[in-house]
Amino acid sequence: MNFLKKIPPIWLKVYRPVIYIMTLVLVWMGAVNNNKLNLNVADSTGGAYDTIENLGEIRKGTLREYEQKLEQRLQDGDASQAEIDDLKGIVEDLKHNEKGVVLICFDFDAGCDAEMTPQVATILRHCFSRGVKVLINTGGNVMSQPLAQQTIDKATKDGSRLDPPYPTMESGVDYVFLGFRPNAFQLYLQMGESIISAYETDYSGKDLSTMPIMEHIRDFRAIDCVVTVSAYVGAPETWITVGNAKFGKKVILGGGAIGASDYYPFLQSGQICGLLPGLRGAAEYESALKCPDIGSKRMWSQLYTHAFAIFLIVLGNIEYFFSTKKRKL
Amino acid sequence: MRNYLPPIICGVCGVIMMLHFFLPENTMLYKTMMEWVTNSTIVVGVFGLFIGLASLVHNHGNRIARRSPGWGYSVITLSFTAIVALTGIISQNVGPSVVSKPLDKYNYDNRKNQDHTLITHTLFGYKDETYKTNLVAAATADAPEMKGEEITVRKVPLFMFFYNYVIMPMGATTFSLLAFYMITATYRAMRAKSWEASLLLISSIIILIGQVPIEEIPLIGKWIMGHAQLIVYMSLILYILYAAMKQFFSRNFITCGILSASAALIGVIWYYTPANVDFEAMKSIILNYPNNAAKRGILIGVQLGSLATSIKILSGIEKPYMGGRG
Repeated sequence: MNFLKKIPPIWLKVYRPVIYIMTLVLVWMGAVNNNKLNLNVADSTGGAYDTIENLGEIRKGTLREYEQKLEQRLQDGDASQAEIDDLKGIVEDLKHNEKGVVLICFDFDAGCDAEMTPQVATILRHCFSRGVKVLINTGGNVMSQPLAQQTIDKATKDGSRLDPPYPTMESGVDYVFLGFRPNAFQLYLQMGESIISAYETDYSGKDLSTMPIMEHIRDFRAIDCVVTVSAYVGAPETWITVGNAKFGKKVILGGGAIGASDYYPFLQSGQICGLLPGLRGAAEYESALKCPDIGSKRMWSQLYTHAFAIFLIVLGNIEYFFSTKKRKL
Repeated sequence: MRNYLPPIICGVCGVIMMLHFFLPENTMLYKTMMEWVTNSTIVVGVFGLFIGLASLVHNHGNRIARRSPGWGYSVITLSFTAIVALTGIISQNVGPSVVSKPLDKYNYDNRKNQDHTLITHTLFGYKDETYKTNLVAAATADAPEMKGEEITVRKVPLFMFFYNYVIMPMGATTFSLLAFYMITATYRAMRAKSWEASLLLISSIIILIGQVPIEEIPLIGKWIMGHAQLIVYMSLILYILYAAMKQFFSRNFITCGILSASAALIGVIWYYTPANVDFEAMKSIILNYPNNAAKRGILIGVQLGSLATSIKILSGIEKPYMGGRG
């Protein structure tokens, strides 16, 4: 064991490049590995999957709730005509889009593309496959827009691999990409009043009021679930405050692997019903959907680099344990 | 007036923002209030954009005028601010061409015979074998339906070209560098130098293993997954016994006894741990209990602090929007 007591000076000089090259090789090995990956679906991801799967039931529940509210207000007899008309309108809206309506918020830029895009792409495919109408917007970052557009374009044409498959989705009918507007928090609040007045046009500049999809989606009450995929600290809290606390909607959160640990308290308290932690979350969702894609593929790279990181931790500690002089790092 | 008006506006707007959470929905007051507040903030937000742009030009312009160290970077910043802004404004039909044709003879991501199109940029030369590097363009170009072997040529907007070939790779590169720094940090920094560091080390190893399907690692993966409890508990026990031994030789018999008892306690916990608790279950336990407890404490603390600060700002005791004066 004496050889461990003195670290060869050459190693101290070259360890960084060696580790960098090894990391690069392992990432590449993962990228070219096309084998199927077996993953257990965690409860947090399962919660997100189940929510999208059961959106129809959730919508029926909301409809019953508003019907009872309307009946109650009619029996009370003290409600204004405007309130009665509003309740009748929302009951009518909820009778349409019976498979559910989801709002997906892109809140990340190119730096987090590798982790986030697989999450949102697989959720989009899931929604399209189940006939759920999708509204897509971007949160606080204007640079999310092109990335969102690319992901949507790809997902709309990807239906043949899913069970049940779906045809090419049509903008304005099956989904709408609302784009970016400044001041996210205020904007979300305004969406509670009227989505059309908050955005007016979609990303390509088409008038929202002329789109068939918007005919029965006037405000937040017609949306069943909010999915926010965000790489920024504090951004998901906005949706938890507005989407869940204020409007009482189900919120699903997608986050980076590092940042996701911040949101487990919200999952435990029921303020969010699903959490996709990083690439693992995307890969688990793909497994649940039985449609492995880029998320599962990228997990190989993550697997090899994590194993290498553990090896380096063990190596570093063995070196530290046996070294006679405790090196200042 | 200069000293009194801003705090009054701030206080009134803040109270309105708070009230809308408590007012009944569908009332005229609520709707008017919401409409006014949201429209106002969006207008103010757009002004903020101009202020940001003016500040950028002012700061970097000064650096260039004074030839401050690194002024060349300021030239690049200002030039690209102008170029990217212009590319967003000019027509969507201005930009490099892309060539599209059916992808049926290629096998991208094992999706043979799928309805995908091959798209290459004329800017980088039209070569069949370059299709993989140009998939970003393929996703953006939104190619029309292909008919047979028909080849189409269309334009990619210049802004999208910049986004795909400059902003996206640079953003991804900057973020990717973190992976290399982090992995060298695991070797240099994550060492069991103290009891606290050891706890951090063990929990980080459990999270690292739990985050990936470790059983897929050739040769040792299945063994590691099958002996999760043995690895974790034995590491803990051996480490504590080693610390106890050191205390024994330093003649700190009480500390040695406490440490030995801790090792025995961990052995008892191991005995009562269900057999199905693997690394993924351990990861969930760490994230759901110690992590949640700490995060919740921090969150509550931060929110109470924010509440106190908000009250001070709304009541005009603190005026950060006036540069601290008044």
